[in-house]
Amino acid sequence: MYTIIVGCGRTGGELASRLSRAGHEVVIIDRSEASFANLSPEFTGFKLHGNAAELSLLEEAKIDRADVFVATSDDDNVNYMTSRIASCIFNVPRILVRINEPEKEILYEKTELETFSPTTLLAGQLANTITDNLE
Amino acid sequence: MKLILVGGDKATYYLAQTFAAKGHRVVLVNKDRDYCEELSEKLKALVVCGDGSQPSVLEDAGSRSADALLALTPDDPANLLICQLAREVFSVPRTFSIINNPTNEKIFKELGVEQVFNKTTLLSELVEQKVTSENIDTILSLAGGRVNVTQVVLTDDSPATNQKLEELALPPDSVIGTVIRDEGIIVPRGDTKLQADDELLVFTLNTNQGEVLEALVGSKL
Repeated sequence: MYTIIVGCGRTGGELASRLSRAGHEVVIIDRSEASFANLSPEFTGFKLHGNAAELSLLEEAKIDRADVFVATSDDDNVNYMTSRIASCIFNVPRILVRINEPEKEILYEKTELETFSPTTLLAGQLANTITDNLE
Repeated sequence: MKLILVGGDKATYYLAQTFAAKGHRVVLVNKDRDYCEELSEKLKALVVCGDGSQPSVLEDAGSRSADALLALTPDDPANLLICQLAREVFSVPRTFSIINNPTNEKIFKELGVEQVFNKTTLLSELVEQKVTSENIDTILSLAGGRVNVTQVVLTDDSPATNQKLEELALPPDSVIGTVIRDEGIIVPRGDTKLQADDELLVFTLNTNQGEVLEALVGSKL
């Protein structure tokens, strides 16, 4: 499986390391070279330094042959733009997007893209744990 | 018509002023609190201070009843998201965007932003047209390049210096919208006399821009 990950923060770095360890082909993109320190030593994929919202960089990442595209950066606007490019221009089969500000989720309602909001997930999990313990 | 202008720098003020002068309702959205204060002091427009890429901020700006939205931020991903929010969530009929990276033009169009103004391309076209004069600066090119907003600074030698507007032989389809003099703003009338160092904002068609600039400063594009 060929996966492109945008954003090498804690989440992106951990995800890239796990997929790489499991034997998948991974390209990770970040605009800060220092962020690649978030990758584990077992990461054997490809690191691309630059702005993922630039078409030329996504082309360099060979987005046209990606099976999965994951936008994990801390900039919702970049996540939106890159995931729309992956979907509308390159028809990447599976696209997952991190949403930092839950109110932006509304933009994805009419799309096929799978969204993950850490805030909503964590709050939901906490609420469930609390109410389960009450019962 | 109700227009929302999101982000942008100095040009935003002039744009807002132009639209307001034509009788349109203008709403400005800007992240910069100081600039927002300046804008609301100077303009008769609703100013919303906030990040226009947040749905709640666009909602506060009254997007649901807007006729058009123009995204002017220096960040292309933000411009794209703002236009898509406007169209898909708030059903704004027309969206326009400035793009900073010329390769994004194709992407914006493919993703449904109706009209893009490519800053880099516009500037490079101007350079190709050999705009070497230091006192002429095209600020905006609209309607696919058919309408231009040009900033002109008069010097002692300019033909228009010390002339009243009504004495200038300007072509019919051109307007001097604003005169900036000593930081003050003058909306000129026929009897307004122009002075050296006046900064004029001139609205022209691309067909008469050269003629207008020649009448004002003696050089043309």
